[in-house]
Amino acid sequence: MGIQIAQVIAGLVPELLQWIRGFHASSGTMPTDAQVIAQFNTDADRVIANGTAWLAKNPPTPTPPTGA
Amino acid sequence: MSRLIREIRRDLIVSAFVLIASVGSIGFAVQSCASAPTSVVTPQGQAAFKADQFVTALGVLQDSAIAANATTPPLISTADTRLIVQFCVGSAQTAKAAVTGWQAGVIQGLTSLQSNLSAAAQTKYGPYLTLLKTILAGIS
Repeated sequence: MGIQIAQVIAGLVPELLQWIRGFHASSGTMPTDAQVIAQFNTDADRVIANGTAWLAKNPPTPTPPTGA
Repeated sequence: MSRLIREIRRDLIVSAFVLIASVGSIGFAVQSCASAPTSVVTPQGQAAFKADQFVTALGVLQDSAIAANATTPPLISTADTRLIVQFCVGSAQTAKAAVTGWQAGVIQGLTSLQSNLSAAAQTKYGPYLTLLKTILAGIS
């Protein structure tokens, strides 16, 4: 029973996504060029900031100097 | 002994959850990696739309690696996490610096990352990296 419900829900997902896209299109909420570019910059900045912060907290272990 | 088994079992569950959630998210990003909406008309906007699909997937990969490294014991080593984070940061910086024409360099970095990861990390993160390549192929 649970598997059948999951299969039904899985089958509905593409239609649901299509409906959401159509709703956005009809409601005039489709993104403009400026919004897409701003979103890209925001997402890229988030990756850079999170990664940079993690790297700062986890610096590479210095390699011990080799003997002459 | 039973405590050890419980911990191993818990780690496996966490690992599976992280992997499924991340691959699922990246898979969704691949699915939605279609052409830009009709409201996006300029080449810059269309390029940013596609680049954002890739950067979103990068964020998922980076977040999952950091989360996997933060567990006790870590699900992936700090050295492997560092390689992944360095790749994600470098790729995001490259994509941001040049909205078009950045794919070749990032593919090269991705190939380098795959070969530099430990065998264990390659096994865990192979699907992520393959999906990233698929997204890049869709952009190029």
